[in-house]
Amino acid sequence: MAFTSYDFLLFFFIIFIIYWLIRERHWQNLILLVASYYFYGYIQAWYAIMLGLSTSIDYFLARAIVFYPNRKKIFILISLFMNLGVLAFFKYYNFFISDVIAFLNTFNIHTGTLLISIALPAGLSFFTLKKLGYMIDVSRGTLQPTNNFINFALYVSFFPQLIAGPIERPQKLIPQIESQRQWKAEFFYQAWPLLVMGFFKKIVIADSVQVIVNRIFGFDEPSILLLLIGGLGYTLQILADFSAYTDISRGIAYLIGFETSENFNKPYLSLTPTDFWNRWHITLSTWLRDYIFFPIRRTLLQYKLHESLTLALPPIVTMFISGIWHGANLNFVIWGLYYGILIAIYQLIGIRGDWKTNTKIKTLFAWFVMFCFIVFGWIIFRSPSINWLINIFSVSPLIPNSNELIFALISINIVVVYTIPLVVKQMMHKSITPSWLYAIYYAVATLLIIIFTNSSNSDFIYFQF
Amino acid sequence: MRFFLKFFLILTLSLFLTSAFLINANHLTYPFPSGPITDSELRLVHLKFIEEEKPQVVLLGDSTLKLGVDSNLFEKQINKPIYNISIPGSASALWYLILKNNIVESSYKPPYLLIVFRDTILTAPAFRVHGNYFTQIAEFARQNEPLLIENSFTNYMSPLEIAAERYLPLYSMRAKIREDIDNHIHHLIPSLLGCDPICVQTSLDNLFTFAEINPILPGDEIRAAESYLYTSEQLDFDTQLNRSYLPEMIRLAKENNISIVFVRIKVKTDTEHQLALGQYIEKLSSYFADNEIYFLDFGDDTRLTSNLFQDAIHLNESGRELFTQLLAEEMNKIISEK
Repeated sequence: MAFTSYDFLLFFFIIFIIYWLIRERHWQNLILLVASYYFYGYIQAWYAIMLGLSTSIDYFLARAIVFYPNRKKIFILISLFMNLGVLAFFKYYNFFISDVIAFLNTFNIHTGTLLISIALPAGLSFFTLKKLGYMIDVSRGTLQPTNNFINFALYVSFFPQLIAGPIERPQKLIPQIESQRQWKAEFFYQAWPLLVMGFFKKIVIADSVQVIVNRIFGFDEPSILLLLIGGLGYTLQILADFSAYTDISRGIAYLIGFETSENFNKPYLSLTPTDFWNRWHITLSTWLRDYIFFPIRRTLLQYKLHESLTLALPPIVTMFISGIWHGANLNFVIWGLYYGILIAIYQLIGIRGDWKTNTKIKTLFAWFVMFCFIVFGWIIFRSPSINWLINIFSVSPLIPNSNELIFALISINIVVVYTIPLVVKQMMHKSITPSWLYAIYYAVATLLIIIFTNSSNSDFIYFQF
Repeated sequence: MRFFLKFFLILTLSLFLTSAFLINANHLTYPFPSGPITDSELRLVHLKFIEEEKPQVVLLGDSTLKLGVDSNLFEKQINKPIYNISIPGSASALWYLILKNNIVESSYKPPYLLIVFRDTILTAPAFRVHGNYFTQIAEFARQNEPLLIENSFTNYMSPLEIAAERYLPLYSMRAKIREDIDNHIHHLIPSLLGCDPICVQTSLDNLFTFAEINPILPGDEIRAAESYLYTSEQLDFDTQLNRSYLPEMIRLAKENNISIVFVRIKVKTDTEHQLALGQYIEKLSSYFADNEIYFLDFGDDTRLTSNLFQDAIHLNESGRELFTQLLAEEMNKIISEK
């Protein structure tokens, strides 16, 4: 169920009313849990069944760690094996299945309908990390496991965060689940600007820019200039789309009395790759930092290896894993490695995450270099295949032909026009802006949401035939 | 709270002013009817062609027909003049309108009408009717098309959408406003360089030829767009039939002595849909048999192997040649039978 659908609006309206009519915390949690499972199982009921099963197993494993601390390694291994196994199966099954079928066919074994492509359950990557973080913290003794199954199940399945995060830490969400909640007007005042900006970024910006991005990355051999414009477009699209989801998710959470984490903090103003990952998809970055980066670094330091190795290896391995987490696609793996290597190089030349310069020119230069790296990273991420990208850089012309040039001009104009609202908002934040100017900004954004809702189709690819 | 009140007041005032402006500028009556508004202009290009050329067989369909049937070869093989109306991006709503307002309205009625479709598209009246597709549909619609509005739009609207369409002019006029915004953005820089809207359109038409599209990505996008046809709602034949244009299309053809032949073309659908799709096609086939309608089903034809496709739904050149021959063979049987 998409946040932007009518079905969700109706679903949330009903939940909202019932939830606040009931003042008792346990019942409120139960309602949210049922709602979360309904939300998740809306398209495929077995998604919800799978979520329920894996949540139950992790709940009991976490309890077992407390009761049998001398066997905690076994319990944590079972949890890791189950969670990563399920994740790997669904993420990589389709990647390998065509080869498996072809292999079986060579032995005249016809697979029929037994081996079919399986859809990845939405949100699996996100709630798996949530559960793993919980289990690791319990096994480390930094978190006392909850003894209430409903609270734990709600932490894992909390519907505003279920599909695309933020990957909330148990230390932040579980205490809120366990505390008494009563309606306050403050919740609404916190929620509405997030909801307006979320819908605006998704419906007006991301969906509009997506059209030209899809076109450019759909060409067989676009010129390099056109590819770069497509990269710029995707840089805007992915930020607008993903941060919109987080805004809407946070807005919804506020409406039911929860404060959840921010996921983006002006990522495109970063000066270094580490700085970028501290600002982009923050909850994933901190998860990777705490559960992968730090343990690797600590291990390397224990072995007293050469400093360059202890500086370079942890980011490369962490970002490689981040790439694999994003999906079964060579693009993602290379994109992860690309950032890992970038971070390592910056670290080795002494430019760490908190690096600052003392002159504006240097800052501008550092920003420009980092922004170019970010755009190129998104080009790797978005390309239909790595071969396609290599082919463009080896055979495509730099400057487009006359027809492509017209399209390039239109595309760059679209990217610029749809960037303006975000830049304006940023400038308003930086300067002392009167509240009525903000009110006008949000009102215009709302008018544009009304105009852009279902007014165009992103699937007009059929017009090409 | 004060901030929210400021926002709310500005928004309400803006909505009121834009509503008043839109109603006055477009001379509209308020409240609006639900669903999109069609004008009185009607495109009669197919009617004129049929009246002038008097084809014996008319083919109607979308890009799968365009890339799946070689008109010259088909004409030669059935030895009858044909007229191929293959409109990329079209679906049952547009086919119904072309049949109703062009083919049936013609003074000459072609003896045969072949509608080339795939899987559940005939009973999916809301497929490809929004945004840019609607512009195409509106050209073939009269000012008053109650069945079109009901089947393709209001049946699929939530009560909130119906209310917004009726009482919020900014919402009901959004497609036109959006088109104006897009036009301004598209033409701004090219016009500064001396390329007018016609020059822009010509460049884009030249650019987006099929050969220049990377085969990997459109395949995925096509599959994503096609997934609508395989939802449980669309695969429920009994419910969808009464919401579709199919009964009306059959009635129109019969009343005008046009032998309507439905041709199911093969596509590469995912195996997960096969069982439900099989049941759907069985019911569709029985429905055609009950109504004494010709149905040529190539959907599971094993001769059309996967190497004859250029993507998930379109045949390649070899596929087109083979499918044209197969269709011609079956068509010749129908013609000789009559």
